[in-house]
Amino acid sequence: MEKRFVHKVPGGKLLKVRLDYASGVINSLRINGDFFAHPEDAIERLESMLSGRALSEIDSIINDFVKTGVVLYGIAASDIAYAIREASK
Amino acid sequence: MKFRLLDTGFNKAALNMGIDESILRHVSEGKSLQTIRFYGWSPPAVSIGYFQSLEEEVDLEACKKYGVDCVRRITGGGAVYHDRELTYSFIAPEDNTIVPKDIMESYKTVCSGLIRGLGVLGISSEFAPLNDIIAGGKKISGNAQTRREGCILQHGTILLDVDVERMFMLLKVPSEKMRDKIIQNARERVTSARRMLKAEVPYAEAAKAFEEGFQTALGIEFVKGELSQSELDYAYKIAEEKYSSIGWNQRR
Repeated sequence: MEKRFVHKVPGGKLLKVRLDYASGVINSLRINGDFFAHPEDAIERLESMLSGRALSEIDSIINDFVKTGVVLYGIAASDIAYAIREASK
Repeated sequence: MKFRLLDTGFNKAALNMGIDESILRHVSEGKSLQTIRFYGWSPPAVSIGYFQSLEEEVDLEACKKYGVDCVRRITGGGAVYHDRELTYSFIAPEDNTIVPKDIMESYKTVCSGLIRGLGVLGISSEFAPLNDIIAGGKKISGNAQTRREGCILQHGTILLDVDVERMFMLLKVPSEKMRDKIIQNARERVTSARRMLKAEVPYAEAAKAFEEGFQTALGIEFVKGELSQSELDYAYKIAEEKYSSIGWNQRR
């Protein structure tokens, strides 16, 4: 079932998460918004890293993702985790 | 430091984005000198940020009706309606001596050229992090940057005039109920050279001012140039195959 959550990061940009989610598992997701990420294709990589994974795993996946040297502006990695969790509710 | 100065005039959205990417490729390969380019949009266009959804941000029916182009940028950031504006791009190797490697700092450096250019026009302005320039407390310029192939590409817009009603006929609003409020809000947050000066600023006059602005603020020595045949060929190729394709424009 598709679920959505829009998160306006205080002092930052807009983060929109679309989630195909059922019984604790993210089947697929899309992370949209007017933020910046360098390199840009890192966000597509994160989307595939999170697909098929349990909601309980997202913090460690996102932490590992940030360690690969991805730079985010206008949102923080924790905002992505927050928006996914909110969307799943 | 030497830069090529290009003024490519007014083009369709897909070709405008193709030209930026083509210059980046050629600068990266050492085939072209680092470049500052001025340009405009004909027909007017909406560009969306790399991470935005075209369907969610843009009223495609309205764009069709008004003959407005739509294109996805290779840079992040938000949706922009490009009409009465001067657009620029700044393309240089990341290891150049003018612009810091740090992304936040580099926005500020490139924008200092624009702030100086606005000063030449008689408009006092300042940098507003993350990526805006404000005049009289309102946004007059939005900017977006990417790092690829060892190069910095920063492009952005300086509003010469602004039609907020038209803007929100083309960009989607969360609900019709909120339309008036959003338009009112945008009117309070966005300004233009025309509003600040109470006079029209033609594109050519703006381009001249920003040339001077970049020269003085960044210590750039300009070499007036043209796009090379190879740059043009590649720009037309990706304008058609990438920036005009559903696969790219609707990929998110």
